[in-house]
Amino acid sequence: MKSIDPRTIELVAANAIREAVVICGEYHPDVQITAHYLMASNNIPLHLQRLTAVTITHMIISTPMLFAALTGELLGGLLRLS
Amino acid sequence: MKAHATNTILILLTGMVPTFLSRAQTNPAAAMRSVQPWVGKPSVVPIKVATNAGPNLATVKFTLPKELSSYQVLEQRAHVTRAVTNLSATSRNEVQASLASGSLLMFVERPSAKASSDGSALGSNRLFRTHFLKAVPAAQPGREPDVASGELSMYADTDPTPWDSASNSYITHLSVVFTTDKPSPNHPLLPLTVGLSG
Repeated sequence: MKSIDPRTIELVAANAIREAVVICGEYHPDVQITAHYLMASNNIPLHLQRLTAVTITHMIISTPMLFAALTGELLGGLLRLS
Repeated sequence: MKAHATNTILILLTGMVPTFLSRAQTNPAAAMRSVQPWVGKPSVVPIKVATNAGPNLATVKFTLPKELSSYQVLEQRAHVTRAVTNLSATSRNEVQASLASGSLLMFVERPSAKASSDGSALGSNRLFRTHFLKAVPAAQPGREPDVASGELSMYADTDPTPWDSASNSYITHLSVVFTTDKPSPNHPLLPLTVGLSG
């Protein structure tokens, strides 16, 4: 879990919605949030969308200069080895 | 040799993927946005039952949305919380409970394998819900306590949480709301503080 903002929510009025933003920096299969209130708590599983090969490819190609530099370096290294 | 080189490239490229995944450039300000309201009527509405139990005990009858076994039932009295195991429900999930003045009864919904999706029509997903019943001293002395009720719920805007390619992270918006059928400025169950950790 990268961040939870805010970590404390105070409900002072009925029927009023308060919001928190949860950010995860990377995929994990078992992400859980624990909500504590009064003397009780609840563990809540947060399901993260699995990244498909297309999404990962899009992420890599979306930074073409970095991709080109890394690929070029790899290929250059391999050619020197061979 | 060529085949060996191709395999090496594929392995190295696969090894690069976690690096890209963990490179999180988050922008919390950009992540903030408005959410849809999910305020509805609470599903548990207690009805007082007349008994001869005395002025310090309130007896109520109510119907739970799920089977009683779907809840962890807790009672808080004089800052002491204990599990309640002596409740029983009818086949229609109707429960009758007696509360001492000042005591609080909590029905904490147990997490299911797949979170319930009652709010799916609004594109939301409820993560948890807890029902509260609190016996508060009656305004007039000698009368049995009044019973205040409410429901604490948390929703996620989407399930599963999608990957946000702009910030290279998973971003979910959680909404916490307390609903009651009798909203008043000095509701006996408020204020309510929810702490989040993970």
